[in-house]
Amino acid sequence: MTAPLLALALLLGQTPDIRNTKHNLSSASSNVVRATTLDEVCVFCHTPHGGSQSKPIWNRDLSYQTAGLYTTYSSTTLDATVNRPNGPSKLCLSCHDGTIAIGSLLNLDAVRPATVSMSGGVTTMPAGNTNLGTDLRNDHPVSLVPDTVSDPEIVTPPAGDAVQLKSGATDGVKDSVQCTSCHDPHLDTTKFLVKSNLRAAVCTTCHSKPGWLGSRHEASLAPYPSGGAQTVGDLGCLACHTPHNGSAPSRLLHTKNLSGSPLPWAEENVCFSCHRSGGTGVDPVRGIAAPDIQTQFGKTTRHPVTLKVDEHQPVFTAKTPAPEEVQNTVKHVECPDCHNPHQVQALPGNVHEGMKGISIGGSVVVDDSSTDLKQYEICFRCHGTTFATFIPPAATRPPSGSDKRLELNTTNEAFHPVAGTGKNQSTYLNNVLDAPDGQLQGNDWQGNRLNRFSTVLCTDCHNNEQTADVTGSARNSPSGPKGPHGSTNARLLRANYSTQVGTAGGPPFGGYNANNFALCFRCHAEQRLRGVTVNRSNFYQPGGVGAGRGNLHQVHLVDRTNASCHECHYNVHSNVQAANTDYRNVPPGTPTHLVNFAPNVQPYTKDPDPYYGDAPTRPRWGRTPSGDYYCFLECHGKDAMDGVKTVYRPPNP
Amino acid sequence: MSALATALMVLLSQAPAESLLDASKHNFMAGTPRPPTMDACQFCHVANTLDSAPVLPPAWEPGVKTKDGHAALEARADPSGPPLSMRWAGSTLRCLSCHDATVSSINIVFRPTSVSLKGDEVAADRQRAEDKRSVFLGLPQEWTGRVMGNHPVAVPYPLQLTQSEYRGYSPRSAPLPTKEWHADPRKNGLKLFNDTSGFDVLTGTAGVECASCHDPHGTPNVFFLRLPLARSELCLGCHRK
Repeated sequence: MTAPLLALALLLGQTPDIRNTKHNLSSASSNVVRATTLDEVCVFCHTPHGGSQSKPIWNRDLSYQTAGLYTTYSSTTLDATVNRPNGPSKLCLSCHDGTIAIGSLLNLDAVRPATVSMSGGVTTMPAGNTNLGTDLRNDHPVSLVPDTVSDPEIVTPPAGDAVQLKSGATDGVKDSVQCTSCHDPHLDTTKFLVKSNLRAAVCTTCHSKPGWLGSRHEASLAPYPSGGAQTVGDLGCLACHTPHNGSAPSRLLHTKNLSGSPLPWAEENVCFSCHRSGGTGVDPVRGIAAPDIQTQFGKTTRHPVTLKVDEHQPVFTAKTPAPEEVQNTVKHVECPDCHNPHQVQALPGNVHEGMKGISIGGSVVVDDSSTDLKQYEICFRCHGTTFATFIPPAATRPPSGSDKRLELNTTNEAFHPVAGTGKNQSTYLNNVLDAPDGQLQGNDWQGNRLNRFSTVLCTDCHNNEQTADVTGSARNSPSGPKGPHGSTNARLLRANYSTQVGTAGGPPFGGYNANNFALCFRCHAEQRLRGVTVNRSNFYQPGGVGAGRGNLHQVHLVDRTNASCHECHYNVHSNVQAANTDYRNVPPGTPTHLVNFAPNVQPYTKDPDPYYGDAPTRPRWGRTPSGDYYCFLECHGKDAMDGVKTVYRPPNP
Repeated sequence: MSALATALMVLLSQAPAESLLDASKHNFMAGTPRPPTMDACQFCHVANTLDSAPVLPPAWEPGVKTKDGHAALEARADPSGPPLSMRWAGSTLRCLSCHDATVSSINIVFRPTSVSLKGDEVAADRQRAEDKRSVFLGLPQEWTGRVMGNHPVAVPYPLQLTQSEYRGYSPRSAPLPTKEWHADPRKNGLKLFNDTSGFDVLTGTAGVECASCHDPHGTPNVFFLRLPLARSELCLGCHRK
């Protein structure tokens, strides 16, 4: 009977009849599990005399349910103690654990004990969802007293609700979650539920998940017909969780597949059940299906969600203490390391709603109703202090394998402006409205023109390559799905960025090719970097445009050396960990313009420094005693030391 | 079978044909049909005109303890649960005077010497008590004296879906889940009792005793049941499940 029909039946005063349910095991029923000839209904569970217990009087042996028979549910996020099955749950298990023959009764017509012959040769509970076995770890825990003190996300059912606690732990006290809290074995409803679980009505009676109402998943109208539900939102918790026979060792997760066999077990496959090609139907309001994230994770570079199974522990639970440190120390990455599926919002909303992160200062920050996490605070969970656990060892470590929390700190002399406005406040680094010679193009993620005050997101560089179709922030791209899930580019970059560097024998490239620096040009306008006169950058040498002087970016990239960005801006995140640069006469607080040299750039050793007379052991970038910027180094085996010509005077500070 | 049909059958089966009682196991007289001079009623009922000998208190009377200290025949919902505050009385008291297995069924107050009985005396009954198929509710050889695992009796019934208090016992403070009960199971052929004097069964004081389901004088059904077991008609006469 459907929920509306049931409601109608109750309204009309009709009582659902157990004889219409699968619990009618009499020979008169048409159920698969039924007696061969016995035409009684109640007797399979109840007897008026000689039962194993009263209240209800039970016609099945329970003495086999000794200590240790059952393996009970456990979870790192569970505060309550799960007792061995007691109370009503013992009774349900006397069929549903598959141990005792269904026809094995204590009393049948005064024959004690007795065995009822079952149709089709059925003895114990046939294999399937209804046979829970004695290993109950993949089933919702029963016989536990909810701990609403330790876990604020657990509440006891309100008085009058169809879901209720039942007797169990303490005699005569209805204190425990039991099978019968959710199921009434006499009720002619879907799965004998005491009330409809559409939109998670049963689950949310006890599970109060902050932010669930109105979250993207709760509000989803994406079609996903399953078990009476029509949409993902209707499915509610059951889109990802199952109260029985979960695929996971804990948290009762399961995978699904709208069009075939469920995906094999893996954390990410819970999400991919919907977040893959054809995972759901098209949400009629949003006009899109669930974003296909699975395809993203199949790209050349990706966050390796398939790397580990069952190592992730939730961090977004309100349980105290958190079962997984917000700052990860055990290498893994799974979808819920960045997203809280109970609270997540779709872009342009907060995709990290309800998460915990690490602030630029290194402390744990929590996203709640009053505070939104900053995106980088999620990234710092792994790419901050504990990065060494996650990035391959130093020998093969790419330049990005470093502590981003340290690098992006706004007290540094140079950093990409992720955690705050950048140090370079040159008007050359400004928007075109503010200064004709500005170098930035496009909008920030909030739609404002990029300028020297702007901040950027990690995902403005690290993103699906499809988002390279716009300048400025990747958030402004009409393409997607967005996010650092996967990219066809190296280092999960939004656009190509060559890290090729020169050798002693020559420059990295035989000629200039804008595609080598496509990533940079999403924000830093190529024409500004290549402009010889007006559109120049402030890496500028006065005293003559001829011979390539003037815009020194143009000189390096094109005119003279065909160098790469990477050679002088080896780590584009920050200078703070620069290992191959000698900053001379640069007082603390002075912007260092993200100049830090790649290992192929060498110190100049043939002559001493013309300004200071010393012999630096690393390539030098600094200021002359009079404050002019200059370089003193050797590049691709050539002398870059060219007397005063190495001095350049930016037209702006 | 409806109550009416049962009554009709009883009416039609009056002597000289064998009565339901004669055919039942509650006819303890040797030989059937019952000799007209022999009174099968005497095993349970004593004529008012006869002197009655002093009656020993039944083992399950309040205050009588079993050897492990429990009140005899105390009722518990489960082995570790507290004793339920049931008070045996009325027809149930009469049933238990045999079916608690502490007293021989032939240990009766008055017996004409001419009566010949089936079987032997106490020893035979004890044997029956130890038989797992026994109809006895208690197990005297174990002296647990508990009626756990039996349908409760001496409990209220929500006649007309109204909460009852019965023999001083009201099982729930909260409203009954009335949708789970028939308003009046008497219409289905079952019997309810009144815990005060008189035969009128009133809402608010109605209760269930052994004889709600059993008619000790015999029925067409097994186990003296007032309704057939097939399709669980008996159970579903009260319970709406």
